[in-house]
Amino acid sequence: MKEKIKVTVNGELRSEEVTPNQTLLNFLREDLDLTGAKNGCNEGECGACTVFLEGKVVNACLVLAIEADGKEVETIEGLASGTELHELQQAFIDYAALQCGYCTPGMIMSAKALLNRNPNPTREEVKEAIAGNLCRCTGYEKIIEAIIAVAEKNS
Amino acid sequence: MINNFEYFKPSQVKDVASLLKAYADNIKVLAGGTDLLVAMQEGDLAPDYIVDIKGLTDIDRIKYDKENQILRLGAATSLNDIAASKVVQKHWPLLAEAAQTVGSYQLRNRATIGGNLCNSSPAADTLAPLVALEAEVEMVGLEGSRIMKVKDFLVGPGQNRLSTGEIVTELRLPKPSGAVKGRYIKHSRRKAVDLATVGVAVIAEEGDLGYRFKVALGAVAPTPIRAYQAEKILNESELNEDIIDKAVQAAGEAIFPITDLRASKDYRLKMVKVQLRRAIEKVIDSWE
Amino acid sequence: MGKVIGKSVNRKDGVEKVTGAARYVDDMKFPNLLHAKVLRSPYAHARILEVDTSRAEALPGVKAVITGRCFPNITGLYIGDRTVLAQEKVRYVGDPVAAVAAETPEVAEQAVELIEVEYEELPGLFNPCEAMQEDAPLIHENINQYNHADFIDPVPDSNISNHFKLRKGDVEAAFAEADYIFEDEYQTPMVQHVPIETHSTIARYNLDGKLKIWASAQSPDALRELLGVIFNKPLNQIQVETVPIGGGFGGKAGLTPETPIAICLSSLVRERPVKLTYSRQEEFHCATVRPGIYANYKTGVKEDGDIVAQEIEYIWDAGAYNDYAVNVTKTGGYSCSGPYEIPNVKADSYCVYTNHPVSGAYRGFGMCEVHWGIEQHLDSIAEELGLSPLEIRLKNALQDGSLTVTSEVMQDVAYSECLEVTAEQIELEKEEESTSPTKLRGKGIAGAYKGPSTPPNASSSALIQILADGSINLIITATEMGQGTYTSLAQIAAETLGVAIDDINVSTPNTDYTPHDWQTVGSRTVFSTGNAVVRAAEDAREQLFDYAAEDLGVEAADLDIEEGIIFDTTEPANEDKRVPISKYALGLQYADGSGRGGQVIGRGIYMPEGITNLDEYGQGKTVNHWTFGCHGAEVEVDTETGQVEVLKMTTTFDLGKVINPQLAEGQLEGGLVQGYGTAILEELIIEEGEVLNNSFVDYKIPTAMDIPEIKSNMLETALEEGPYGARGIGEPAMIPAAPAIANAVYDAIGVRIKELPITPEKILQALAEKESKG
Ligand SMILES: Cc1cc2nc3c(=O)[nH]c(=O)nc-3n(C[C@H](O)[C@H](O)[C@H](O)COP(=O)(O)OP(=O)(O)OC[C@H]3O[C@@H](n4cnc5c(N)ncnc54)[C@H](O)[C@@H]3O)c2cc1C
Ligand code: FES
Ligand code: FES
Repeated sequence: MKEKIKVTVNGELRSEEVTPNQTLLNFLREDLDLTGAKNGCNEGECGACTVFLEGKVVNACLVLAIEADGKEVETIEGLASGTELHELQQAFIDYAALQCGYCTPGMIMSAKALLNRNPNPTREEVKEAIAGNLCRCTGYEKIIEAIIAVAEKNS
Repeated sequence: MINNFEYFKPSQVKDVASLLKAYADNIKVLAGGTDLLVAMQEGDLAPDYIVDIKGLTDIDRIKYDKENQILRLGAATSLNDIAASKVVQKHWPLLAEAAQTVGSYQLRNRATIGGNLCNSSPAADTLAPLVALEAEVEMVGLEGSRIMKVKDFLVGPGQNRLSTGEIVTELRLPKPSGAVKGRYIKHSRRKAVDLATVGVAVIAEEGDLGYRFKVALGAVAPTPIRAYQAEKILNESELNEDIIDKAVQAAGEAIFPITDLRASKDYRLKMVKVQLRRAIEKVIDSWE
Repeated sequence: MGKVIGKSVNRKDGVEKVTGAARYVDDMKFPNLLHAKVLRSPYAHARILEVDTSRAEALPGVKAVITGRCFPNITGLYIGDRTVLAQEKVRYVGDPVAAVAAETPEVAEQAVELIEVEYEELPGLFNPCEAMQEDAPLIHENINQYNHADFIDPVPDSNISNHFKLRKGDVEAAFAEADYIFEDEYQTPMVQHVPIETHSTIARYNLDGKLKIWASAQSPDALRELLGVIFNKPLNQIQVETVPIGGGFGGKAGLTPETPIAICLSSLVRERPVKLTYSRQEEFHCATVRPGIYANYKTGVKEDGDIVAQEIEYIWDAGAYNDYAVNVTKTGGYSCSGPYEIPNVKADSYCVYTNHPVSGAYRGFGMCEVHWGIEQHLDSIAEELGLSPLEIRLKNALQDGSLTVTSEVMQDVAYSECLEVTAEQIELEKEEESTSPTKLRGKGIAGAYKGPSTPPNASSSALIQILADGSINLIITATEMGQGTYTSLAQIAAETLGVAIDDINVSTPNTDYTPHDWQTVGSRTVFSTGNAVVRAAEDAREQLFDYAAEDLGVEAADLDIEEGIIFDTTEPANEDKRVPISKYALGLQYADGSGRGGQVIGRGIYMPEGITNLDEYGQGKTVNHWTFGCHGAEVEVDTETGQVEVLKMTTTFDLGKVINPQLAEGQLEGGLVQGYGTAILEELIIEEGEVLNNSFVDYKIPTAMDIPEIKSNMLETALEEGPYGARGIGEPAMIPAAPAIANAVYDAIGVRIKELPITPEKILQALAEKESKG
């Protein structure tokens, strides 16, 4: 039982077939081989699967692929332009805001969503914005610094 | 692992209602999916049909109805939209505050107010505020629509007054007549992305006779409840420490908390009292 | 020196990780991949009477089904007490009983549900203090037959998988002379590592018998050796490749069961890779956990705070299989008193089988558990004697020349400085105003020490290959799980060789090509592999200098390398005697077209010297180096809700030499926050063997909202044997976090929480008890 969907992923319009029970996360990872978004829990708790859907960050593990029909999805793979890293990506490297890297794609997406809606966040606002992204390695400190650095650079 | 199902996304309420009627126990309404899909992942639910209501007109609209002086929240309005809405922040700050405490930012982009209501968890964060605000639910089915108080809509954990074939289309909040001050305190184990151990909603509305309190409590009974006795004590006397004490005591007597992984019954009982007092004091502070 | 070392160079794996390009095991695809699922025991302790897999086998899409009988070989890291799948008995809820490989994960899951198992339930043992009793029923009936490392001592016919004994001095006599004797009990529960990447593996059994494994495994070599035993295979027939690991913290060290399960399945469908990735639920209770501990202390002190005697009993709730935990508990035993000099010590550390989840290595390797008690016990003694927490620690702290509990002589110790720096920075003596009348402020410190806790002969090796253009491959089997291995080892290589950091590429561990490294655990990599890298680089330099000496007519001893240029140190400006290393990368070329030698391949090996197993009294030198440090915490306790807010934490560790300040600080911060998690939030809630909170809904780890303000200090007291003086720092910052917070809580409210975690309910109860006592 497959259904056809049309979805724009990282700027590219794609026609694909999905089964209704497939999550957006599964679709991205298994069908499109976009494995940047991770499955850390499959129940909305860890944020490792965070991607943009219609310009808003969501937990891709709690969205059905079929719901993305006619919509736009942006994943970590779409963030850099060519070999030029997005400024958040560069800041994560410069501030050592990643260790194992498993939370990093989701974390960067949440950070991007924050700066989209609030280009000048306070430290507290940064913490709130990434509270849905669990990181077991860094203790968050350097992640917060990296995000604030990008905001400050742009203001 | 989610069992496979057939997916519908009608644009007419009547089509939703027909599907619900036709498939009865074998179909589920999908709003944000943040409760439903988790339950399906865990195998607790395995419907053969899913009807997505996000295609319905105005289902995610926030609208202030001037004529009737009510706020209309489409059932599938996301909690982030509610939290960020200027009109909600202005007249129903309690609701905006509570919406903001649900899960994480990315979760709230999906999680809806109707879903929070229809999932009918005693710990759901918007429900105690909705009860305190005397919100009403509009339900629509093939036979038409009906309206009910949120307080009456909720029956028990996961249980409500929706009949087969019905969905919630809208929540309605009466505009307060005077200034209102409100406070939602969510007591939980962790500062973010945690369920409420206890939720306390307090509002005070300015009227001719001064401020009138409404109090609702979450996660301490099978449904969020109004603490009428506590309200009465607060509204019928000159406010002082002693009166607040009495009100808090009365609230403690109105609840039936349970012990679960999150907290013991005894702790919940204590926290209702502590947080209710704090909420009342904060509300008083804010009008002074 | 100091060109690359001591600099915060960017991570080698930064770009691939921020772009989502990094492929972790679960991200890997193969056209003919099969998916595995495991059937697990619903009982904590039961006999398996019958397993019927026929319905599962008949399901279309199912390719292989295995049960315990298929693969009976017993193995284990330090004690061979495990099989791939449970054989006759299951010993914990989650014990793997059967497994399926199928075309899709869905089919595999359905098939697992079709397997029927008949069990006969047995009484479970859930408390190690009871399980260790002589008359307790045995969880492992064959304990007497199990093979084990020579430094592990199982007690015959018991549930004690290891009894570590330590006897130093004369405790009885010292107690008799003590002015005061204090006794105390502490406990910690089992906790989970919770890497964000769950355990994942892919195994392919080739037709020619060769095994290929891609695993999220910290220790490719140890894994290969254990697999060799299970599958009776020469090691060169097993290839383990480690791709980036999404967090390990010890939980992916040693032998983790997912890999042998996947191999067994693949052996039935040769050439088809089989993937097994744990669900988050499985991760919580079927992946290794940290053991629980019941710790009892009896301490004799002099009036002035001098500790003269200590008697310690550690009873570990090590769960169903103890192949790794036996060494955790031994390490807890030989580090039993913490970083203090105590002349007379008697300690017994018992590793006990229970019907709880399997425990093993977790960041700190026993040290978090023992310091929880030690560091609080010290504070309570200090209070009784009228000393400050700092005074009692300084009075007894290990220093140069001190003897540890195993009578090892200490050198290059800066523990006292760590204590002083922390105490000063958090202004330990200064009382802070709280923000509300119902909240109380407090401050506390706690110290820690830790060694790499490896067997004495654990070794490392490294190869350095210079390529034709002078670029360099550093070839190692130490794994990258976030701690920055590739980057810090590349820095060591670059520094020693005299080349730029960007000239170094670090290989991904693959046991077919990369040289042996015992395990990537115990904060040993910068130290042990780092030493091997230094030697490999020195070896490569010698080879380069040999060629250059002949070519340039300069004594080899006069040559040096900077920025990849070999030059004559007696005439550094002479352009004729400055040549890039590329010139000799493939050997020396003569004018007539002939040449000498060949590629420059530096080889470095390292095994610590001068350490051995301990004697029967637990005496001797078995630790190659120690890392010392101290945390300070400032908390605010809400006396009405019992909630503890950790406002600030200061961490001071002596790193010997900071190879990369940013990465090192990341280890301190990450370790501290993990320690904070165990202090305030984390615990596996287990009832009759069943883990009740095996999901993120009820097992909470810290979010960004929870973290305190953190200040880190890094001291550098060079370790003579360390590469550039460096010590291990991966684990230590986790250790003193919980006791520092507990001490601060005590300072705030005057009651001591002796059982982790420090929950609001425990605080309220303790306050109520205090009140009722007046
Ligand atoms: C990680 C995580 C954290 C969470 N944290 C919180 C929290 O802090 N506080 C909290 O209160 N909740 C929390 N939740 C629960 C959940 O997010 C909320 O209850 C949310 O509001 C549900 O909305 P939804 O639109 O996603 O509901 P759905 O999952 O779409 O629906 C929930 C239920 O209601 C039914 N339903 C939905 N809409 C309608 C309708 N209009 N008419 C009839 N039936 C309908 C569905 O059939 C389903 O049974 C959390 C969930 C997750 C996964
Ligand atoms: S995988 Fe989606 S939130 Fe964890
Ligand atoms: S870097 Fe490992 S989980 Fe965040």
